[in-house]
Amino acid sequence: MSAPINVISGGLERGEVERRIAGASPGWKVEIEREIYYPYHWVLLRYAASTLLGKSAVPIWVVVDARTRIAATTDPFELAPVEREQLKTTTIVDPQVPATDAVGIAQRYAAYVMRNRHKALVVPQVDLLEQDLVYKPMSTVRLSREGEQSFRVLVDAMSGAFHALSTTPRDTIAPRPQRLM
Amino acid sequence: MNTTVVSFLVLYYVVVLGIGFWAMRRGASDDLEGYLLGGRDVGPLVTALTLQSTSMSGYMFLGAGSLAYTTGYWSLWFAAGDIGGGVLNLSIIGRRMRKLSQMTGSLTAIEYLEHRYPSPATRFIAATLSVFLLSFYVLAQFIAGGKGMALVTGLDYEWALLIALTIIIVYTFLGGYLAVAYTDFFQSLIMVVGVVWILGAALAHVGGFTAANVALREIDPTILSIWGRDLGFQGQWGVVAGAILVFSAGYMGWPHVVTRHMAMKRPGTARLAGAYATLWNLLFVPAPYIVGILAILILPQLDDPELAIFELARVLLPAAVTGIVMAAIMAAIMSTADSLLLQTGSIASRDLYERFINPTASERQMVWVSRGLVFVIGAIGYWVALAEPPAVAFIVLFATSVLGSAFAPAFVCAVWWRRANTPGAIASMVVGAVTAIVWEMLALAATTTLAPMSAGIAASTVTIVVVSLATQKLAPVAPHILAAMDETARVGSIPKKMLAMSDFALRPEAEEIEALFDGDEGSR
Repeated sequence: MSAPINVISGGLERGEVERRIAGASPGWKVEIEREIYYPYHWVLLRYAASTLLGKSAVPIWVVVDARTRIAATTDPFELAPVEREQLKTTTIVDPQVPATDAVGIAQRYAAYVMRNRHKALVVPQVDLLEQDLVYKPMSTVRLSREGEQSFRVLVDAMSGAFHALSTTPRDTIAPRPQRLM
Repeated sequence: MNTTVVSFLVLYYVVVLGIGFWAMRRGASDDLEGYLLGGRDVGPLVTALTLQSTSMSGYMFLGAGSLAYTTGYWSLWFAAGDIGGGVLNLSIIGRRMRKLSQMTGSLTAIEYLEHRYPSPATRFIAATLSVFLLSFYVLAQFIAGGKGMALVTGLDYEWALLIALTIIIVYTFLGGYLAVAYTDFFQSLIMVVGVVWILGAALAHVGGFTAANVALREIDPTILSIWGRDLGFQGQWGVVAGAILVFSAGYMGWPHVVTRHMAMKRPGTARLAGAYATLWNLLFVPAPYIVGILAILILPQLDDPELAIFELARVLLPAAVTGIVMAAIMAAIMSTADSLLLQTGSIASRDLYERFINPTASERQMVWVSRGLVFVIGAIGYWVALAEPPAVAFIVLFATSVLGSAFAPAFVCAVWWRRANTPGAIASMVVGAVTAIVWEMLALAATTTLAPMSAGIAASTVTIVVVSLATQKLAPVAPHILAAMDETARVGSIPKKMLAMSDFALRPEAEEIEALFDGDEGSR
């Protein structure tokens, strides 16, 4: 029996995802195609630096995209363990970035963010407090209308944010250059 | 030295430091990161004023007043460019640039330029220009800080400059407190209330706008002219265009810091924060210029026009209010200087030292490179500010003109012109910067009626077009960049409303999921 995965809980229900997309595209038929769990390395860090007013220490939540290596700070969230067997109709995207790499990326990003917030040229101490591989719920939604080419959007089920997926064959698009973060 | 003014100045700093100290202590134990990093939990008003306060500098309090005092209503061309600049930036490049930045994973404007125009030379030239010109901008803050400190404390300029500069550098080296939203909000609120208060007091003193204009006409009718005192710029649209462009297109050249934040709840403050920011600009940007114009009537024999706003505050406001307002202005100057030094040090260490000299540099080495540069800037800045201090307005206008001339066409073409390529952008940056510098140094505006900004932008625009077209075969634009630029076209019939609401920060995840699903499913 495989280990459960940690899913970020509190996402939008199917109906709410459809309503949000329908609201942004009046007159189009909206249909959820896939429910997806997308992998991120969640890293909780403690950023400490000495200042004129004493030692400042702040906890920072960072997530690193487990496929593209892109880091971002994040709002706090809650996790719920889910057995893989319960997710037969859901696509679970495999991570490609090792956890050790993710911690390094997160530490560097946290130092960059905090130096700008701190406004001080200090050497910070960025300690790892916790880390985990977490999955965020997303959906792909197809939109169709008579006489128009249908298209799909990716919906972030946590924030309700969405982005259109391409309608052109992927082999016409060259890969991006390697990211700096 | 006015004891009441100094007492309230001290009180102001105690309050600001108190907020910072409280926030730091709270940050160690509570979940402070929400508003520290994302600014979401503090509401749209605090978010808007926090963002705006960081863009206020010594120029607004010394340069703008001085320009208005010496040139009259003509100076409002600069204010028009400043007010319209945000709208222009948003409408011309804002959304597209943000989209492309997110798609290419760029964190700073320099990274963005290198991703769009791939070449180490792009980064080297952009970083070198930024370090050089940001240093100029910092010099303006040093001078503004020195003059402000001298006026408030009554010390000689030499000593006041040394104290201001030492505070700024020590603060940058060691850090004081976290620049939390509430300290920035408090500071910006005091600034806007203070400047509007000075404006109101000045208007009351001269009997209102109409009476002021009548009185100004009696002194010199050309003060009221849009062509400047003595009609010095009559018909010179090239100079007027430069005045408007310097704070609209010019801002495109400043290196920005972008951080990514992943929302786990839907942020609802952004739109309202934008409205508050626009309101702030309308209220705040013209005020220092108008105060400078009114100072012509109230303080006609002013020795140093750069101190027009400080002197008016001292003459017109109660001592306690003067102390608080002056403290807020000094805090703004020091905060801007601190931010600029940090930016300059970061660009030098990250974009030049780590990239071209020591790719395996540790965090500690990078910090020491930054500190070394900050120390050198401080030493040179003190010497220049002491020996022959240039006008704050001149330095800011010079630095902004050169940055805008170097970078604005490269930024605009990056999102609007598919054929803009790396050789074109590099040549454009160099030609634009050199043209604006030469124009300023040789005072060519007087003979050509073209401001350095106008000449620089024209030269860099022509260069990027000609060189890009001439080198299309030699250096074609990479397919992944064209694909990113074509995002709108690629999604075909997507409704405009949906496109406008799309979150391009999701683009990397979307690409990954497209790649995964292409194997078993194409578009129907």
